[in-house]
Amino acid sequence: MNHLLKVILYCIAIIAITLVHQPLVLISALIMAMGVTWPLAFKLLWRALRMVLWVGVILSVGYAIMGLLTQQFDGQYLLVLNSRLVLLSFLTSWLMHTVCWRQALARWPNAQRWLVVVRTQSDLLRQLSLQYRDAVRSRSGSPGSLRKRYCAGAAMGLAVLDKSVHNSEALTMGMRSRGVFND
Amino acid sequence: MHIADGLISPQTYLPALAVAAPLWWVALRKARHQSEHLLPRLAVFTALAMVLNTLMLPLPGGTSGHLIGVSILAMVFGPWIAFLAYSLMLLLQALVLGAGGITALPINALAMGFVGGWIAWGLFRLLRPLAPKLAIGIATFCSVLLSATLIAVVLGVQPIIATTPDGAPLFFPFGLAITLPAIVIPHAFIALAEAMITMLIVGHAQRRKWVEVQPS
Repeated sequence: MNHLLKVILYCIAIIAITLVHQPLVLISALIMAMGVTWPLAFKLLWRALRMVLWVGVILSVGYAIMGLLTQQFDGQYLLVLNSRLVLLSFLTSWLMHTVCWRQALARWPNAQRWLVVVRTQSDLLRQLSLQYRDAVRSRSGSPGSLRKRYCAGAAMGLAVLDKSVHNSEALTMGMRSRGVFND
Repeated sequence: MHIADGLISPQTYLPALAVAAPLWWVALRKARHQSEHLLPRLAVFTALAMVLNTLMLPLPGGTSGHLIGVSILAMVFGPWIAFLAYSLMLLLQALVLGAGGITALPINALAMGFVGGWIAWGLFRLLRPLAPKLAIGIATFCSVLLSATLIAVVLGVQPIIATTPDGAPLFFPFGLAITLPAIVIPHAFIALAEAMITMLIVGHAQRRKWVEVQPS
Protein backbone atom coordinates (compact mmCIF):
# COMPACT_ATOMS: atom_id res chain seq x y z
CA MET A 1 0.00 0.00 0.00
CA ASN A 2 1.16 3.54 -0.79
CA HIS A 3 2.79 5.14 2.28
CA LEU A 4 0.87 8.40 1.94
CA LEU A 5 -2.39 6.43 1.70
CA LYS A 6 -1.48 4.64 4.95
CA VAL A 7 -1.01 8.02 6.70
CA ILE A 8 -4.36 9.29 5.35
CA LEU A 9 -6.14 6.09 6.44
CA TYR A 10 -4.55 6.39 9.87
CA CYS A 11 -5.76 9.99 10.26
CA ILE A 12 -9.32 9.04 9.21
CA ALA A 13 -9.28 6.05 11.58
CA ILE A 14 -8.18 7.99 14.65
CA ILE A 15 -10.80 10.69 14.10
CA ALA A 16 -13.47 8.00 13.62
CA ILE A 17 -12.36 6.22 16.80
CA THR A 18 -12.90 9.36 18.90
CA LEU A 19 -16.53 9.36 17.71
CA VAL A 20 -17.15 5.83 19.02
CA HIS A 21 -18.15 5.38 22.67
CA GLN A 22 -19.18 1.70 22.76
CA PRO A 23 -16.51 -0.45 24.43
CA LEU A 24 -17.51 -3.56 22.43
CA VAL A 25 -17.00 -1.74 19.13
CA LEU A 26 -13.63 -0.40 20.26
CA ILE A 27 -12.43 -3.80 21.49
CA SER A 28 -13.68 -5.47 18.28
CA ALA A 29 -11.81 -2.86 16.25
CA LEU A 30 -8.65 -3.58 18.24
CA ILE A 31 -9.01 -7.33 17.63
CA MET A 32 -9.58 -6.67 13.92
CA ALA A 33 -6.55 -4.39 13.73
CA MET A 34 -4.47 -7.08 15.45
CA GLY A 35 -5.75 -9.65 12.96
CA VAL A 36 -4.82 -7.46 10.00
CA THR A 37 -1.29 -6.91 11.34
CA TRP A 38 -1.06 -10.52 12.56
CA PRO A 39 2.56 -11.65 12.71
CA LEU A 40 3.45 -8.30 14.31
CA ALA A 41 0.31 -7.86 16.38
CA PHE A 42 1.73 -8.61 19.84
CA LYS A 43 4.91 -6.66 19.21
CA LEU A 44 2.81 -3.64 18.16
CA LEU A 45 0.45 -4.15 21.11
CA TRP A 46 3.38 -4.24 23.55
CA ARG A 47 4.76 -1.03 22.07
CA ALA A 48 1.30 0.57 22.24
CA LEU A 49 0.86 -0.47 25.87
CA ARG A 50 4.23 1.02 26.81
CA MET A 51 3.13 4.30 25.17
CA VAL A 52 -0.15 4.65 27.10
CA LEU A 53 0.32 2.52 30.18
CA TRP A 54 1.09 5.31 32.63
CA VAL A 55 -1.62 7.61 31.22
CA GLY A 56 -4.19 4.81 31.43
CA VAL A 57 -3.16 3.70 34.92
CA ILE A 58 -3.07 7.24 36.39
CA LEU A 59 -6.44 8.18 34.88
CA SER A 60 -8.10 4.86 35.75
CA VAL A 61 -6.87 4.77 39.35
CA GLY A 62 -7.68 8.47 39.84
CA TYR A 63 -11.13 8.05 38.34
CA ALA A 64 -11.83 4.90 40.36
CA ILE A 65 -10.84 6.61 43.63
CA MET A 66 -12.85 9.76 42.83
CA GLY A 67 -15.78 7.67 41.60
CA LEU A 68 -15.90 5.54 44.73
CA LEU A 69 -15.59 8.58 46.99
CA THR A 70 -18.39 10.45 45.22
CA GLN A 71 -20.51 7.31 44.56
CA GLN A 72 -20.45 8.06 40.82
CA PHE A 73 -18.23 5.21 39.63
CA ASP A 74 -18.97 4.03 36.09
CA GLY A 75 -17.05 0.90 35.06
CA GLN A 76 -18.14 1.24 31.43
CA TYR A 77 -16.37 4.61 31.23
CA LEU A 78 -13.09 3.01 32.29
CA LEU A 79 -13.56 0.33 29.63
CA VAL A 80 -14.27 2.96 26.93
CA LEU A 81 -11.34 5.16 27.97
CA ASN A 82 -8.77 2.36 28.13
CA SER A 83 -9.92 0.51 25.01
CA ARG A 84 -9.85 3.80 23.08
CA LEU A 85 -6.38 4.67 24.38
CA VAL A 86 -5.00 1.23 23.52
CA LEU A 87 -6.64 1.15 20.07
CA LEU A 88 -5.34 4.64 19.17
CA SER A 89 -1.82 3.87 20.34
CA PHE A 90 -1.93 0.47 18.58
CA LEU A 91 -2.68 2.26 15.31
CA THR A 92 0.09 4.79 16.03
CA SER A 93 2.61 2.02 16.69
CA TRP A 94 1.47 0.29 13.47
CA LEU A 95 2.03 3.58 11.62
CA MET A 96 5.45 4.04 13.22
CA HIS A 97 6.40 0.52 12.18
CA THR A 98 4.99 0.45 8.67
CA VAL A 99 5.33 3.94 7.19
CA CYS A 100 8.49 5.14 5.49
CA TRP A 101 8.27 8.90 5.98
CA ARG A 102 10.71 9.62 3.18
CA GLN A 103 8.29 7.95 0.73
CA ALA A 104 5.15 9.33 2.39
CA LEU A 105 6.50 12.88 2.02
CA ALA A 106 7.83 12.35 -1.52
CA ARG A 107 5.42 14.97 -2.92
CA TRP A 108 6.67 17.61 -0.48
CA PRO A 109 10.46 17.87 -0.80
CA ASN A 110 10.63 20.75 1.73
CA ALA A 111 8.88 18.70 4.41
CA GLN A 112 11.05 15.69 3.56
CA ARG A 113 14.21 17.82 3.86
CA TRP A 114 13.06 19.36 7.15
CA LEU A 115 12.32 15.90 8.57
CA VAL A 116 15.74 14.58 7.60
CA VAL A 117 17.59 17.62 9.00
CA VAL A 118 15.69 17.70 12.32
CA ARG A 119 15.97 13.94 12.88
CA THR A 120 19.68 14.03 12.04
CA GLN A 121 20.24 16.98 14.39
CA SER A 122 18.19 15.38 17.15
CA ASP A 123 20.19 12.13 16.92
CA LEU A 124 23.41 14.12 16.74
CA LEU A 125 22.54 16.17 19.86
CA ARG A 126 21.82 12.99 21.81
CA GLN A 127 24.99 11.30 20.60
CA LEU A 128 27.16 14.33 21.37
CA SER A 129 25.60 14.70 24.84
CA LEU A 130 26.39 11.06 25.65
CA GLN A 131 29.95 11.40 24.38
CA TYR A 132 30.59 14.59 26.38
CA ARG A 133 29.07 13.03 29.50
CA ASP A 134 31.31 9.96 29.16
CA ALA A 135 34.32 12.24 28.64
CA VAL A 136 33.52 14.22 31.83
CA ARG A 137 33.03 10.99 33.81
CA SER A 138 36.27 9.53 32.55
CA ARG A 139 38.20 12.57 33.83
CA SER A 140 36.81 12.54 37.37
CA GLY A 141 37.41 9.74 39.85
CA SER A 142 34.35 10.41 42.01
CA PRO A 143 31.04 12.18 41.36
CA GLY A 144 31.41 15.93 42.02
CA SER A 145 29.10 18.17 44.04
CA LEU A 146 25.65 19.02 42.67
CA ARG A 147 26.83 22.56 41.80
CA LYS A 148 29.85 21.19 39.97
CA ARG A 149 27.69 18.75 38.04
CA TYR A 150 25.23 21.49 37.05
CA CYS A 151 28.10 23.72 35.86
CA ALA A 152 29.65 20.83 33.90
CA GLY A 153 26.21 20.03 32.43
CA ALA A 154 25.70 23.64 31.33
CA ALA A 155 29.17 23.87 29.77
CA MET A 156 28.64 20.54 28.06
CA GLY A 157 25.23 21.60 26.73
CA LEU A 158 26.60 24.80 25.20
CA ALA A 159 29.59 22.98 23.68
CA VAL A 160 27.20 20.44 22.15
CA LEU A 161 25.06 23.28 20.80
CA ASP A 162 28.09 24.97 19.19
CA LYS A 163 29.23 21.74 17.62
CA SER A 164 25.75 20.93 16.44
CA VAL A 165 25.28 24.35 14.79
CA HIS A 166 28.68 23.96 13.13
CA ASN A 167 27.77 20.48 11.84
CA SER A 168 24.41 21.70 10.62
CA GLU A 169 25.95 24.65 8.77
CA ALA A 170 28.39 22.27 7.08
CA LEU A 171 25.45 20.02 6.14
CA THR A 172 23.51 22.98 4.70
CA MET A 173 26.52 24.12 2.70
CA GLY A 174 26.77 20.60 1.29
CA MET A 175 23.06 20.67 0.41
CA ARG A 176 23.43 24.12 -1.18
CA SER A 177 26.42 23.01 -3.29
CA ARG A 178 24.28 20.16 -4.63
CA GLY A 179 21.53 22.57 -5.65
CA VAL A 180 19.00 21.46 -3.02
CA PHE A 181 17.76 25.03 -2.51
CA ASN A 182 17.33 25.74 -6.21
CA ASP A 183 14.01 23.90 -6.60
CA MET B 1 2.49 18.26 29.25
CA HIS B 2 1.33 16.99 25.85
CA ILE B 3 -2.23 15.76 25.69
CA ALA B 4 -2.43 12.23 24.29
CA ASP B 5 -4.90 10.93 21.71
CA GLY B 6 -8.20 9.70 23.10
CA LEU B 7 -8.52 12.23 25.95
CA ILE B 8 -9.97 15.14 23.97
CA SER B 9 -13.44 15.28 22.44
CA PRO B 10 -14.08 16.14 18.77
CA GLN B 11 -16.07 19.15 20.07
CA THR B 12 -12.70 20.50 21.26
CA TYR B 13 -10.13 19.33 18.74
CA LEU B 14 -12.12 20.15 15.59
CA PRO B 15 -12.63 23.86 16.52
CA ALA B 16 -8.99 23.95 17.64
CA LEU B 17 -7.99 22.63 14.21
CA ALA B 18 -10.12 25.33 12.58
CA VAL B 19 -8.22 27.97 14.59
CA ALA B 20 -4.77 26.40 14.13
CA ALA B 21 -4.99 25.76 10.36
CA PRO B 22 -5.02 29.44 9.26
CA LEU B 23 -2.32 30.23 11.81
CA TRP B 24 -0.12 27.45 10.36
CA TRP B 25 -0.76 28.90 6.90
CA VAL B 26 0.32 32.40 8.03
CA ALA B 27 3.39 30.92 9.78
CA LEU B 28 4.30 28.98 6.63
CA ARG B 29 4.12 32.17 4.56
CA LYS B 30 6.31 33.99 7.10
CA ALA B 31 8.79 31.10 7.04
CA ARG B 32 9.14 31.35 3.26
CA HIS B 33 10.49 34.89 3.64
CA GLN B 34 13.29 33.76 5.96
CA SER B 35 16.72 33.54 4.41
CA GLU B 36 18.19 30.09 3.90
CA HIS B 37 21.14 30.76 6.24
CA LEU B 38 18.68 30.37 9.13
CA LEU B 39 17.91 26.74 8.17
CA PRO B 40 20.84 25.06 9.95
CA ARG B 41 20.24 27.01 13.17
CA LEU B 42 16.50 26.44 12.98
CA ALA B 43 17.08 22.70 12.54
CA VAL B 44 19.45 22.62 15.52
CA PHE B 45 17.16 24.63 17.78
CA THR B 46 14.11 22.57 16.76
CA ALA B 47 16.10 19.44 17.55
CA LEU B 48 17.11 21.04 20.84
CA ALA B 49 13.46 21.74 21.70
CA MET B 50 12.73 18.10 20.85
CA VAL B 51 15.49 16.89 23.15
CA LEU B 52 14.28 19.25 25.93
CA ASN B 53 10.81 17.76 25.46
CA THR B 54 12.16 14.33 26.31
CA LEU B 55 14.03 15.48 29.46
CA MET B 56 11.79 14.38 32.29
CA LEU B 57 12.03 16.37 35.54
CA PRO B 58 10.95 14.70 38.77
CA LEU B 59 8.30 16.79 40.54
CA PRO B 60 6.94 16.87 44.11
CA GLY B 61 4.33 14.18 44.69
CA GLY B 62 6.09 11.51 42.67
CA THR B 63 5.02 12.84 39.29
CA SER B 64 7.23 14.18 36.53
CA GLY B 65 7.01 16.63 33.68
CA HIS B 66 9.15 17.78 30.79
CA LEU B 67 10.56 21.03 29.51
CA ILE B 68 8.84 22.71 26.54
CA GLY B 69 11.56 24.57 24.67
CA VAL B 70 9.33 26.90 22.64
CA SER B 71 10.65 30.04 24.41
CA ILE B 72 14.13 29.42 23.00
CA LEU B 73 12.71 29.10 19.48
CA ALA B 74 10.56 32.24 19.92
CA MET B 75 13.40 34.40 21.26
CA VAL B 76 15.88 33.27 18.62
CA PHE B 77 13.62 33.09 15.53
CA GLY B 78 10.46 35.02 16.42
CA PRO B 79 6.98 33.71 17.34
CA TRP B 80 5.71 32.65 13.91
CA ILE B 81 8.74 30.53 13.05
CA ALA B 82 8.69 29.17 16.61
CA PHE B 83 5.01 28.20 16.24
CA LEU B 84 5.63 26.45 12.92
CA ALA B 85 8.79 24.66 14.04
CA TYR B 86 7.18 23.60 17.32
CA SER B 87 4.04 22.32 15.56
CA LEU B 88 6.17 20.27 13.18
CA MET B 89 8.14 18.96 16.13
CA LEU B 90 4.89 17.92 17.85
CA LEU B 91 3.78 16.21 14.62
CA LEU B 92 7.10 14.39 14.42
CA GLN B 93 6.82 13.32 18.05
CA ALA B 94 3.26 12.07 17.53
CA LEU B 95 3.89 10.14 14.32
CA VAL B 96 7.45 8.96 14.70
CA LEU B 97 7.97 8.67 18.46
CA GLY B 98 4.36 8.05 19.51
CA ALA B 99 4.30 10.92 22.05
CA GLY B 100 1.30 13.25 22.16
CA GLY B 101 -1.27 12.62 19.45
CA ILE B 102 -2.73 13.63 16.11
CA THR B 103 -6.20 14.58 17.35
CA ALA B 104 -4.63 16.57 20.20
CA LEU B 105 -2.05 18.18 17.89
CA PRO B 106 -3.95 21.45 17.22
CA ILE B 107 -4.53 21.95 20.95
CA ASN B 108 -0.94 21.13 21.91
CA ALA B 109 0.35 23.35 19.11
CA LEU B 110 -1.90 26.28 20.03
CA ALA B 111 -1.27 26.07 23.79
CA MET B 112 2.47 25.48 23.72
CA GLY B 113 3.61 26.61 20.27
CA PHE B 114 1.38 29.62 19.60
CA VAL B 115 0.40 31.04 23.00
CA GLY B 116 3.66 29.91 24.64
CA GLY B 117 5.75 31.28 21.79
CA TRP B 118 3.97 34.63 21.57
CA ILE B 119 3.97 35.18 25.34
CA ALA B 120 7.70 34.36 25.54
CA TRP B 121 8.54 36.63 22.60
CA GLY B 122 6.23 39.48 23.68
CA LEU B 123 7.39 39.61 27.29
CA PHE B 124 11.01 39.22 26.23
CA ARG B 125 10.68 42.24 23.90
CA LEU B 126 8.78 44.22 26.52
CA LEU B 127 11.15 43.59 29.42
CA ARG B 128 14.46 43.47 27.54
CA PRO B 129 15.17 47.23 27.84
CA LEU B 130 14.74 47.02 31.64
CA ALA B 131 16.74 43.88 32.44
CA PRO B 132 17.98 41.93 29.41
CA LYS B 133 18.96 38.71 31.19
CA LEU B 134 16.03 38.67 33.58
CA ALA B 135 13.64 39.34 30.70
CA ILE B 136 14.51 35.92 29.22
CA GLY B 137 13.77 34.19 32.53
CA ILE B 138 10.51 36.01 33.27
CA ALA B 139 9.24 35.58 29.71
CA THR B 140 9.99 31.85 29.76
CA PHE B 141 8.45 31.35 33.21
CA CYS B 142 5.21 33.09 32.20
CA SER B 143 5.11 31.29 28.86
CA VAL B 144 5.39 27.81 30.43
CA LEU B 145 2.90 28.63 33.17
CA LEU B 146 0.32 30.03 30.75
CA SER B 147 0.69 27.07 28.38
CA ALA B 148 0.23 24.68 31.32
CA THR B 149 -2.86 26.60 32.47
CA LEU B 150 -4.38 26.39 28.98
CA ILE B 151 -3.74 22.65 28.79
CA ALA B 152 -5.29 22.24 32.26
CA VAL B 153 -8.37 24.24 31.19
CA VAL B 154 -8.82 22.24 27.97
CA LEU B 155 -8.59 18.95 29.89
CA GLY B 156 -10.74 20.26 32.75
CA VAL B 157 -13.65 21.29 30.52
CA GLN B 158 -13.92 17.83 28.88
CA PRO B 159 -16.33 16.42 31.52
CA ILE B 160 -18.57 19.47 30.91
CA ILE B 161 -18.69 19.37 27.12
CA ALA B 162 -18.52 15.64 26.35
CA THR B 163 -20.73 13.41 28.50
CA THR B 164 -23.31 10.65 28.10
CA PRO B 165 -27.00 11.54 28.65
CA ASP B 166 -26.66 10.31 32.26
CA GLY B 167 -23.70 12.63 32.90
CA ALA B 168 -20.77 10.15 32.73
CA PRO B 169 -17.66 11.55 31.01
CA LEU B 170 -16.78 10.35 27.51
CA PHE B 171 -13.18 11.55 27.38
CA PHE B 172 -10.98 13.08 30.11
CA PRO B 173 -12.77 12.47 33.42
CA PHE B 174 -11.51 15.18 35.80
CA GLY B 175 -12.84 18.73 36.06
CA LEU B 176 -11.06 22.06 36.47
CA ALA B 177 -10.89 21.73 40.26
CA ILE B 178 -8.48 18.82 39.77
CA THR B 179 -6.68 19.63 36.52
CA LEU B 180 -5.69 23.20 37.40
CA PRO B 181 -3.73 22.41 40.59
CA ALA B 182 -2.50 19.04 39.29
CA ILE B 183 -0.97 20.56 36.15
CA VAL B 184 -0.20 24.19 37.02
CA ILE B 185 1.53 23.71 40.41
CA PRO B 186 4.10 21.15 39.14
CA HIS B 187 4.66 23.26 36.04
CA ALA B 188 5.65 26.22 38.22
CA PHE B 189 8.73 24.15 39.15
CA ILE B 190 9.26 23.13 35.51
CA ALA B 191 8.91 26.78 34.46
CA LEU B 192 11.67 27.76 36.90
CA ALA B 193 14.01 25.09 35.51
CA GLU B 194 13.13 26.02 31.95
CA ALA B 195 13.69 29.73 32.69
CA MET B 196 17.23 28.99 33.87
CA ILE B 197 18.02 26.74 30.89
CA THR B 198 16.56 29.30 28.46
CA MET B 199 18.60 32.12 30.04
CA LEU B 200 21.72 30.01 29.52
CA ILE B 201 20.96 29.04 25.91
CA VAL B 202 19.53 32.36 24.67
CA GLY B 203 22.40 34.22 26.37
CA HIS B 204 24.81 31.95 24.51
CA ALA B 205 22.90 32.48 21.25
CA GLN B 206 23.13 36.27 21.76
CA ARG B 207 26.90 36.07 22.34
CA ARG B 208 27.27 34.00 19.14
CA LYS B 209 25.04 36.55 17.31
CA TRP B 210 22.53 33.84 16.37
CA VAL B 211 19.57 35.93 17.57
CA GLU B 212 18.15 37.87 14.67
CA VAL B 213 16.12 41.06 15.16
CA GLN B 214 12.67 39.59 14.63
CA PRO B 215 9.91 41.94 13.49
CA SER B 216 7.26 39.28 14.59
